[in-house]
Amino acid sequence: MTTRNKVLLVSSIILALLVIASIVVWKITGQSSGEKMPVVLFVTIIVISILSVFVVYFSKIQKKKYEKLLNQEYYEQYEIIKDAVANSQLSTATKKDFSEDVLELLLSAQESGKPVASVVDDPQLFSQEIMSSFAKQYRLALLDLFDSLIAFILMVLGASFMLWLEQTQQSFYATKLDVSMIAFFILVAFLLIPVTKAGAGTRNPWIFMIPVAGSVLFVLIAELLRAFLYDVDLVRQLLDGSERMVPNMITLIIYLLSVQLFLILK
Amino acid sequence: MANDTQIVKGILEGYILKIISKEELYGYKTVERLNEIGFDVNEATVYPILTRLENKGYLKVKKRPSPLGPLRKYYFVTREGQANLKEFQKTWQQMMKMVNEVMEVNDHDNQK
Repeated sequence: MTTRNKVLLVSSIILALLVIASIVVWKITGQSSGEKMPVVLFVTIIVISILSVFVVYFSKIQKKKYEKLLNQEYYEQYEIIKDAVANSQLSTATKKDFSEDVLELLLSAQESGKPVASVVDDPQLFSQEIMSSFAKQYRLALLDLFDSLIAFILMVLGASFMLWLEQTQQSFYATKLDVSMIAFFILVAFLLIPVTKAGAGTRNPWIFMIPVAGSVLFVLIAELLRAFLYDVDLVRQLLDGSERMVPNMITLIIYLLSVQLFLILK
Repeated sequence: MANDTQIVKGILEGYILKIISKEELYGYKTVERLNEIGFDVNEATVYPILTRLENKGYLKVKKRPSPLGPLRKYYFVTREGQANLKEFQKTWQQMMKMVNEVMEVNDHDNQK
């Protein structure tokens, strides 16, 4: 297993464990304060967390049929290109097509006995040149922004739905999200995801630790703010405030239509 | 010939169109042909050019299984590609003529 795959697997396991730990803590503290978490919700989150590790393994780590024919040196270069393509804004069909082409190209070169360095000296540059032949840089940046907006909306809707499941007797539109949670979603959608995607096509495998590191750093900063700056109104609002992110049906429709619109524009 | 200048990349586009118009080629074979002629290029240089030419509509592809298993892309020049190749050849002849004239003048001056 390459270093990139080890880091990827470990980071997915840590993320899954963090989610499981936080849900267990949530359930225990909820019980002591009289708030009961539905068993279905508790089990679903744990099962999804565990399954996510398997999804990462089978979709990102396990070698496909013909990929097994590449030797270690070739496979490492191929993996960098494949990651850059998988995280790019190309269409699903183009990504598949491109990955197959590169695989065939590298297999032919390997078969002829060429050293990998003479075939693809800079896999990052190689991927960038391919991507720029499909779309201009500003369009790619715009598509990245659409991805971030879609991710943010889906996280807000998903979290609102999960919280509403706890108290189904109240209206869905009355569900409030913690401001800190909203801030975390902004951090994930507009910083952690784009940075991780941009770095996925580089030689640095530690890039896959960014989501874990970013999440831990966020919690750490929040706790430091609570300890030292809690008197500041803005900090208090950030740490303990809550907002209705889906206050009515019109907002919900706007969210859903926006996601559709961004997907169409992509 | 080194492949790191824009002018060489431009020439490569025209040259790739020319060799593919003569025989059907796939990515790796195209690199081999260019190496035989003297272009010091590798797959990382040629594949993006092939993709660009395909996206411009100058090349079309047919996929067939390779001896190693995965599908291999064979390239063909389209009608638009043929027209572009003619345009490239015309421009190339004009450039060659101009460059040769300038070089001859310089050689003449040096001899004096």
